Amino acid sequence: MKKKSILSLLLALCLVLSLGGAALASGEMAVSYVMDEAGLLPAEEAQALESRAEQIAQNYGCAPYILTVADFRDYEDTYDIFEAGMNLYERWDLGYGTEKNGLLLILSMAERDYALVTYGSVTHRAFTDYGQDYLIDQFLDNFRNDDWAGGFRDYLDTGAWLLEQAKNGVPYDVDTAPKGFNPLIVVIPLVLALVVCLVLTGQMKTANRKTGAGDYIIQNGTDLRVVQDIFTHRTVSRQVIEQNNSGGGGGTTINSRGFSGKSGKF
Amino acid sequence: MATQVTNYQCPACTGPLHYDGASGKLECEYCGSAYDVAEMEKRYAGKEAAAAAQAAAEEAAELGEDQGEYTAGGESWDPEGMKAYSCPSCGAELVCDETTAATSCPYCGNPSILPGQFTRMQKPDYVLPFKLDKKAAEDALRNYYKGKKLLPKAFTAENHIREIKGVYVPFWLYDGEADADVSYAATRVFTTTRGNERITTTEHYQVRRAGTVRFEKIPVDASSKMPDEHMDSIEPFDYSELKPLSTAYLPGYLADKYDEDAEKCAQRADQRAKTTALNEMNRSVGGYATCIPVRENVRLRRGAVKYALMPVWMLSTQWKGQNFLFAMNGQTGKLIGDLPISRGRLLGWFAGVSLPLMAVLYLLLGG
Repeated sequence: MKKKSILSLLLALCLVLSLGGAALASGEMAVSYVMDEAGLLPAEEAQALESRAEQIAQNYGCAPYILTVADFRDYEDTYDIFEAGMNLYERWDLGYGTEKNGLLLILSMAERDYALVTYGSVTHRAFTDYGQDYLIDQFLDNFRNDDWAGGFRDYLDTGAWLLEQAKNGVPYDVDTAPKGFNPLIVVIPLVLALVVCLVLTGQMKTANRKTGAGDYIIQNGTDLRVVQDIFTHRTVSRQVIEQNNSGGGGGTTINSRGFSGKSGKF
Repeated sequence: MATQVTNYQCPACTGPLHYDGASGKLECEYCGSAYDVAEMEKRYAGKEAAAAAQAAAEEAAELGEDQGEYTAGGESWDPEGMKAYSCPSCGAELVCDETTAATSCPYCGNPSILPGQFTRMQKPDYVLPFKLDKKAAEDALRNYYKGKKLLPKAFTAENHIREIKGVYVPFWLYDGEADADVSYAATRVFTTTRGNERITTTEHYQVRRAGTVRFEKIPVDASSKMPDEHMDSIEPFDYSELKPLSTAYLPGYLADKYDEDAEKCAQRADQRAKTTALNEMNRSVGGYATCIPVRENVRLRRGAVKYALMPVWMLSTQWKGQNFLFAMNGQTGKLIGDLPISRGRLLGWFAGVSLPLMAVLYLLLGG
């Protein structure tokens, strides 16, 4: 426990004194946006990401942070990386302005965990649950291929785009997101056209062999001698109904500590 | 000298008579007189009997001679299955298939009957007289083209009726019974939701249906010259108008005797009876989500077989060097036949249906 506190404090000190530390809005403590404790990024790449993050913070009033660590459990006494992210966000006093708007992306390399933690009303408006899923989709494939710099660039670029959408009054959400192409748009008309053409073709081919003789059954000519319906057994299957976790109606799910976000493996 | 060929002549003017389906009488083309079938049957009974007797006698004579030689009566038995007769009206030689029972003289146009054809082989039990005439068949064909969206535009204008003939086609009519015994594996499915679980209960049943289906007069055409598809497709005929055979119904039309025997054709009737018996059993099973036959057993009992002549108008047209054959039920007017398909129109319909629908769905469902 003592070791964890010391590590955490040291990291906080690093953040404050780091070269790339951005001067936040008036009176804000200078904090680095990119904290590459796991050593995944070359210095120049880290610097480029730092500059881009600072630019986003200035433009949108929402600070995007990147934190890579060997194992998040070295920093916080929890097995939940999302909880660790919330604790660090609060402890390090991250965020932009008085409302502390910001988002933190943590990569923990020990078990390849990630967490996206968002905070503040500006952030929550831009990063809806649906938007968070979209953001995660953008960077997760890079991280799965160990493309760290590419994944972080996608994180910052997509984050900036989501903030821009919110700034323009149309946050990216279930109802406003452009929908993917629906294959039914093509399949239904093709099937219907095929049916119509088959019917029309059938009108042209009317000479066919008869296979039945229904017209020649004499009146009341069907006598059923045996009509048996015997119940043999019963089978029961159970299926769990999958809950739709995307929120369905849209919006942002915020917990009791004022955070939102998601976590998982990469 | 007696001849195998007879023709019905008008008692008033000796002009040739033909059977008119609309009036149901024998009519004279020249003086317009009309005669009841029964009346003419009576008048010509002796003449027909003589023709039949002559045919029998000549056939007996033929048996004693080598095939291919002319008979003493001047009528021939051709090795390739053709027969030659003398036209009783103009004396010209009529060369016909050996199955021909009624025809017209190509020289004088007189309708001619060969009664001997129905005595040497089995005599038909029934004849179903024509009710619709040649003009009705032509009109039916023209109407048949209407509303055919895929018919090439030029077809209607450019194709010409090459031949149209009214034919009494020989049919076997089969009576019989089919005993069917079918077992099915069937299920009923109920679905309920409890909490976050969907519970599906499937009840399994062993279903059995057994019974007898009785058929009367399943028709199978007995002429190898007639395409089975065409003859099947103009069914059904209204059997209530079947008449006992009288050659008085034949003048003006062609008629063939059968060249496929009842035993050979019975297989098709059996197959149709079997399929229908199974369908009847299937129809009696209801109320299940699934019902799969696991055992089927059908036993057929053949009954009486009747031989009948059915009225069919055969029309053939030609377009771009291809022949198109149509058949019309001479009693009910049902006309069938395959038509050419315009590839351009087919593609046009496919695109015309699919593309606007895609546009509408795109607007409704979003892209």
